[in-house]
Amino acid sequence: MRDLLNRRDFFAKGTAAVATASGAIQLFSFPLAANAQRNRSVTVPRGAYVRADAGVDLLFLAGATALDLYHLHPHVPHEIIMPADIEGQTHMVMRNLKEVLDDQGLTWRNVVKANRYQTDLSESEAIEAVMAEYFGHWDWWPAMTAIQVRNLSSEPARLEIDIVAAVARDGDRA
Amino acid sequence: MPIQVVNTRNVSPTAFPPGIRVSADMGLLFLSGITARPLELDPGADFEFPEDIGVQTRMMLDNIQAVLDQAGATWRDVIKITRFYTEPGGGDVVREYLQGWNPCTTTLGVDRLPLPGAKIMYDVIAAVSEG
Repeated sequence: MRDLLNRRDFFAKGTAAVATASGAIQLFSFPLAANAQRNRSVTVPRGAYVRADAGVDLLFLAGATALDLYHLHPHVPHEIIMPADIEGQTHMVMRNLKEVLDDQGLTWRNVVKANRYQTDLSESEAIEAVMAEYFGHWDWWPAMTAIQVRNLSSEPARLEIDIVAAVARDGDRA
Repeated sequence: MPIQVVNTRNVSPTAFPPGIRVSADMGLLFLSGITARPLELDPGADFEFPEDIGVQTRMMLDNIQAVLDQAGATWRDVIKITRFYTEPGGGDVVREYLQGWNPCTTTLGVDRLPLPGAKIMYDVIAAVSEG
């Protein structure tokens, strides 16, 4: 994990997806190394945009925290059980999201947008390191927004993620 | 199926859904963040938000209702709500408007909203049939 994080500092890669008229989504990656002058995308930071054309189904996911995907509303104390560390919470968030993707036959490659709501933005690096394990170590990275908020839906929650996934009409993976 | 509510564990349909899938032929309606401030007010006009978050919630929902009406949509077409609030409350009022329908939600406690005095703001996405 440490190797990957260090390497990213020197060799970050950006990703962008373009959906074709047939509804398929193609993945583009562009290097961000300073010497990649000929690549017009060099000015676009990692994961700055993902394009999905018309002709794709969209899957909107509810915001997931480390709380179990299905829980009572309003929340009840005995259900609010989650790891205290941000790495553990991130794993549980990602597993919650994956349960929904799996149900729809989708993978992380279908995810075009992710919003991260954090109680502390200084935990971003740790969160992204865990997310990268799911997103295939930077093979794919959706357009992403990170926002610091005062509190989430339960007291111990430090991270909530909601995502939008795009699905080509023929059901193919992105 | 234009709108498919994801239910990964075959639980009661009254549970909040973890996901909603919208088919490619549906149009999407994105609303700005809407508070209790009346939509017809000029941007510079004075407006004092009521103290009570329940009252604010009802005014906000009426505003959203007006936008949905204008777009030919209903609460049943709403697929995603991102809820921003500075203090908890208003949940019962929302259920009144949703009438048993449960869109996907993300609920966030924030320190401030763009308008002074605003305690709750919803960001709504709806899926509507084209044509």
